[in-house]
Amino acid sequence: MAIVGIAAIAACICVLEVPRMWRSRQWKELGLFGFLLALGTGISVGIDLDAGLPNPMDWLAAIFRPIENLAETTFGLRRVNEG
Amino acid sequence: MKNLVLINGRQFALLAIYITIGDTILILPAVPAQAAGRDAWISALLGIVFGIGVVLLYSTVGKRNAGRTFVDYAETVLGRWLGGAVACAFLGYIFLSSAAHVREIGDFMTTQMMPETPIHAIHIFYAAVVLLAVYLGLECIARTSEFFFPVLILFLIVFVLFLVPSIETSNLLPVMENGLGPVMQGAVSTTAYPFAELSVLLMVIPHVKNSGAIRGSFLKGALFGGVVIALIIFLSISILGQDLAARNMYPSYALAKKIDVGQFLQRIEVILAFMWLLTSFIKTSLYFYVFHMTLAHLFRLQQYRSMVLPSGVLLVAMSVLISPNINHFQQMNDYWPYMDLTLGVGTSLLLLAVGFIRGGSLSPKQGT
Repeated sequence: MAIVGIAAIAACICVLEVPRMWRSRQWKELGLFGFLLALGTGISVGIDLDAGLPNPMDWLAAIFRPIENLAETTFGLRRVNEG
Repeated sequence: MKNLVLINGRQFALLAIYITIGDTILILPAVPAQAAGRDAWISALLGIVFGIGVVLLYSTVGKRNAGRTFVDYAETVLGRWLGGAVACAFLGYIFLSSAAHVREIGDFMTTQMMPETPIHAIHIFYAAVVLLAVYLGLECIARTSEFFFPVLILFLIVFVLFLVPSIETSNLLPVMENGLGPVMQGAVSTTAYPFAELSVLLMVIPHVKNSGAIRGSFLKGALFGGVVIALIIFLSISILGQDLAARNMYPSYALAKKIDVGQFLQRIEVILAFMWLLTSFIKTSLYFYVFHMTLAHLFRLQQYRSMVLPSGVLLVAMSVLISPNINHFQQMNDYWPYMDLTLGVGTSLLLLAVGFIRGGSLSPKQGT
């Protein structure tokens, strides 16, 4: 059911935006538009289906946790109470 | 992008205030309280000191690239590909921050005010308003911030005045019992959340009418916001005590529940919620606007408005995807400040250093 709604919204957005870009021949804009919309719709459907999408925050955590640890050990930072 | 929209120095200062207060007013007090305990207010003051340094850095970058946005400057200094990579990192950072701001609203609403409503519904409605603001552009966001500023100040004064009688200074003692380490740990988040996030304004600086006033407005705005944040943190610690301030997810909201004037004026925490929704809305709108500006500069688009709706769909999807539950979301507070510092301050320092080494030939002659 939710997928139908998502598809309907995506279709509405296309109807609203595509003709204007098509008429003024903004192909690059159209490409980026399609990419963003496909990505957004895809992720929405993936969330709805519980497809186990990867969480971008976990990637960021993988990058920035070592930086956090490094900063804390270098500058002798510590916490009074955890959590 | 043709036909540059212009805002004046006052509006720029207001935008700096809104970014500084933004979502931090509700989220922040708990973070330094976890790190520094009852010394969190010292962390807040240190945060202002470091924050002024950060703002001076940003305004120096802004001055060097006068008339050009951050992304253009990155591409001038580092070249098309390396600069593009920096711009892409900035783009992703801005986008994830916007998604996180939407998520904060959703989490707050579902845990404190509307527990029966699905979080997606709140996200969609909030994002719809943000998209409208982005569609209407920077001028509109700046004027909205100007229009609501007196209301914000009024609510802030009411909030602080009604809480002053319940301050218990014994909650603040002993001062610095654990030494400087925890205080500095707290200062990381009190620097990063309000001040390092001002890096989005680097994309707004070329739109300021009077480029001579940038540094002054920037400092004034950031200082005002920082004082407000420090005040809120001080009130949280001194009224709730360090334990409650650290455990509570929204200490300033719990604080507002304490307001009780003559057993008559009670439960006015919605005032704080309104204040927070307002500042957070301006912050999210500006973030998302800057996202579109970055996108438009990076891909050399002729207009950004067609991207607003599809990236709005992506925003709502991402705000749900970034964390499975509220506890996971709170865990991000451990490393999010370092992300702010790396991508805001680190990138600025890098650009400034490389620009300095490559010499003055890159700096534009005219200051438009």
